[in-house]
Amino acid sequence: MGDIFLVEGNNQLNIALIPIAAEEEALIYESMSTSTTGIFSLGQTTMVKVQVRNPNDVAVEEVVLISGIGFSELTDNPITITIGGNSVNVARFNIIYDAIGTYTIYCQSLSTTVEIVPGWVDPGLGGVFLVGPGEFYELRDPYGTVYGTAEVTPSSCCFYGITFGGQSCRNAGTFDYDVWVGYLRNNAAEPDAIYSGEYQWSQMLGHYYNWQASGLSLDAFKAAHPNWDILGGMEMWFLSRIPAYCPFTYS
Amino acid sequence: MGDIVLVEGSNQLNVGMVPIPPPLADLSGVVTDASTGVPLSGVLVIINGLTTTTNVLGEYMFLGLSPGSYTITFEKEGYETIVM
Repeated sequence: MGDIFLVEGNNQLNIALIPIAAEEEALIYESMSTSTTGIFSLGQTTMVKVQVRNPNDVAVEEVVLISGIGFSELTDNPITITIGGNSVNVARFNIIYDAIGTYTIYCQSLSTTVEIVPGWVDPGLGGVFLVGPGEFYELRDPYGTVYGTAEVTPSSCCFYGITFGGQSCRNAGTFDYDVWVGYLRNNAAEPDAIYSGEYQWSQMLGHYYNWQASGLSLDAFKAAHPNWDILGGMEMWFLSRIPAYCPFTYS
Repeated sequence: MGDIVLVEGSNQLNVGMVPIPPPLADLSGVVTDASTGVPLSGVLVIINGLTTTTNVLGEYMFLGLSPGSYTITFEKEGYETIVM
């Protein structure tokens, strides 16, 4: 027996069908990238982009959250983006790295790995060392890439000059190095101490050209420190800043 | 007194019986979208094995059914099926 009973004559039955809500497909987190890839400097700010696709016909709002360590966010995290129907939108996070190491940033099923290095790193030349005229030193980054050979040359105006394969990185714009100089001194207070304090000229010697232009001579230095036994030579630290893309060539 | 008189001998009376038509039931109605109220065409309506579909106005009709109990089904893709 059914649930309706028809009587003789006309019977009227009007029905309203209930539509089944269209099943929403999950959003697709398509890609995660950084504005620059690979190695970042400590304190460097970069952008992390997360691309999300909405496969549904109706626009949706999505809260995009990144996670990880080694960085701090400069902007809101999470970020809410609106993704149109069957469209793609990108959430952009501006972050600054505040710790050295290799870190992975996550977002949903995506991840990207970055290596954070200090803004300045010892390229492996051994730190402080003595150089003299005619000596050559390779200038390398921490990953073994040789960017040039530093030649210590006598200078008419200065103590020593340095050239890198006869080419200048001054205009390269993407490479920088620092030269710290000091002198061996020998006095009663600090015998044989390596002095690298007062004459850590890193700030004024951001480029060796400036150093040459500084015109500091050994005689002037001796005059300023008459009680020091200047052993001669110059101590230098070559500190390369990452990323370093100096277009050195060799002949 | 009756309407016929029988006389002596044989009497013959042939009768033509008029059949009484069986009672019939018709069923009709309109199917609409519950959320919008818009008439739905192409809705499959089944009643005890008989089928029809609604027209563009959402209308359906069954004629000549016997009075009684029935099970009726309304089906359309994208909508919940109704069985009653």
